[in-house]
Amino acid sequence: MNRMAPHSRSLITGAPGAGVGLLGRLVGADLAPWYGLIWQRFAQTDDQLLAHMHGAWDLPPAMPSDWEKAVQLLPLRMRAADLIIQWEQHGGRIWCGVTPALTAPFWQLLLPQLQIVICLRNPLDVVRALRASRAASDRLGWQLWQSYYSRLALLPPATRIVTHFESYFYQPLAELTRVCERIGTTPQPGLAAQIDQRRRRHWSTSAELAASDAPDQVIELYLSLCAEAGPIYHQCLRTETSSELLAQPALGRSQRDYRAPVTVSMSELIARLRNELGERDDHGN
Amino acid sequence: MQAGVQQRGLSRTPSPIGVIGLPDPAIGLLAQLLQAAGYRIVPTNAAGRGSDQFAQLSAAALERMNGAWDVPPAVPPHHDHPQLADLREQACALLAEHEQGSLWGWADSASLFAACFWYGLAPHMRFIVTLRRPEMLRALAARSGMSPVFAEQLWQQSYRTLLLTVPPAARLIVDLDALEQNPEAGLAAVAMQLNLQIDAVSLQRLAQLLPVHIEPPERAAPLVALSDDMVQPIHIQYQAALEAVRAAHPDQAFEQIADWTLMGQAHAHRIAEHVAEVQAVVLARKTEVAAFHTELASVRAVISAREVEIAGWQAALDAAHQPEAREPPQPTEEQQQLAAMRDLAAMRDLEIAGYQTALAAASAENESLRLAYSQLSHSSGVRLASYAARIARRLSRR
Repeated sequence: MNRMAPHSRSLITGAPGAGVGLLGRLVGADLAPWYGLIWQRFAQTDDQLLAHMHGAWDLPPAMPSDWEKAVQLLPLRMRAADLIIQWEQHGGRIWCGVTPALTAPFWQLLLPQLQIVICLRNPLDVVRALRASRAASDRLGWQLWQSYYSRLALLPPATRIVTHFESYFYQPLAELTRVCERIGTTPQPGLAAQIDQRRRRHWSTSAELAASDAPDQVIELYLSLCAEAGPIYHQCLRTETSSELLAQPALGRSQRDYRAPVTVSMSELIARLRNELGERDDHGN
Repeated sequence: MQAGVQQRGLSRTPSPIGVIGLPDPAIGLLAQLLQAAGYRIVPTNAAGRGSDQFAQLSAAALERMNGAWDVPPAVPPHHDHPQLADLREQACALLAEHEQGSLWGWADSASLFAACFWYGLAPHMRFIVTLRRPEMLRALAARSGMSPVFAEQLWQQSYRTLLLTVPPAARLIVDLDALEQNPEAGLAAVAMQLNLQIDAVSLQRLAQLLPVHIEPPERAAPLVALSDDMVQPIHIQYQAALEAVRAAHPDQAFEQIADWTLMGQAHAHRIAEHVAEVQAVVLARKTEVAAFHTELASVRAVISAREVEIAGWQAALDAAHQPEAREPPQPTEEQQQLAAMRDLAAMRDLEIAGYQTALAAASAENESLRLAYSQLSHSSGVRLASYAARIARRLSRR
């Protein structure tokens, strides 16, 4: 297991509505009130970074390669370095936020050993959550999901760990243990037990995603990240395949029959979904 | 007074009316205004954001163009676009269904990008377009969970698309901020522009619903994450919108300007307050500067006097250090005689000196002659002696 060195720092991030806050609470991110203030300053720095590139959290800007090393960002980099020093002096180890998903390279430049925990959630659920909370259109939701995770997918694999939102409703303690081992913390079983299944408002399967209006790029990116989501999620996916997929007919415009054998493996499922995408492409052409 | 109405000249004949704009409670209010005037408004959807059937078709048309109400489509959904064929049929059926009634309208806060679709299908349709000041972006962003930057872009792109795709004669832009300053007059102006027959009681009742509760941004607080170069285009766009409105009816330009002046009384009042504040500050500064100038002038005068004084002292000092330049005194007669005698004596002295020189020269010459004589005498004596000796010897020889 690639266990993180005790002195290293971690960042929990993901798209808006992907459960970043939930995971932050579960892994025991810096929860003291003081950290709330410093997280706010981290968020302000992110906002300034994005504004510098004429963007915002809901308007991810185009970022050229090596944007984080731009000379124009030097004042912000110095301010961020000062912020990190303050954070570390107060024993800060884990911080979580949404916008760092867009600005992670900037922070990695200042914290080379920063481990990034990527909260992954079904894009369909993220879109529904954004629709409910911010009245955002589905298209904006897809765009945001893709913008956030396409940037996270570019991070070096050694510095990232993908954890799926669904895993915390399947075997929360096991998934929490996996993530905590990787980032060098101790899971808190009490917190994991507090996860309330009933409070989960949006819960979609991969089949529903494939049958939705999600752009193909979103589905492909989601599947590629799912492959990194660890064994707990893969078990969860098999269960989903056996219970959810068998229980409902194929949805929407997809002509594929999802009533697959219960024993379908993750790789088989991915291959099947890829074929589905291919068929949809052929249809489109 | 026609507060809040930024354009006039819509067709006075009954036409279906669409109330559109960015999400704002005032859209519902304007729909109520139409209802009070006898218009039948197509029922709103469950979320209360707009007339359901129209909102759905607008959303579908935008979706075909890879857009949404908050995502600008790459291409505006013109009714004759090939990808909208089936939606066009549905929309035509919907319009035909509602055209049965004499007066009808619809409202949707998500159809700004799709207005051209409806206008293309029903060119007699008119649109009431709600408009907020760019300064209200922050409030809009806060209400709908958008970032200010996103809201700013959406504002620009939405109204730019509308101005490009719906002709001026088909749109009535209502400045909600101005409307809220004088709701009753503003609503009356809107009703007049649309030729709505509405009683005063209804008008008063509707006016009481204004202003809608959108907290305006604090005057001193800048928009978060908006730099000047980002805010400026919004103002330009806003002004462009107003210019476009004015340009649509050049014959009424003067009246329009007068109306606009009346409409913006509240704005003007606020601006006047600012101007008064600034003028007071400027006046105070000017007084201070004038006082400084006066003080400076007096100081300069003192300095000049001191400089003159110093120059005088300096001159006196210089004069004290320099030898006196006295005029030669007029010689007296005695002095003149004395001088003449002196001159004469000097001349005599010179003459004597000349004589003495000549005497010295003569003496020297005499001396040299004497010397020459003596030398000659000596040599002659020597020679005589030698001659004598020689003669003696010769004589002895003999």
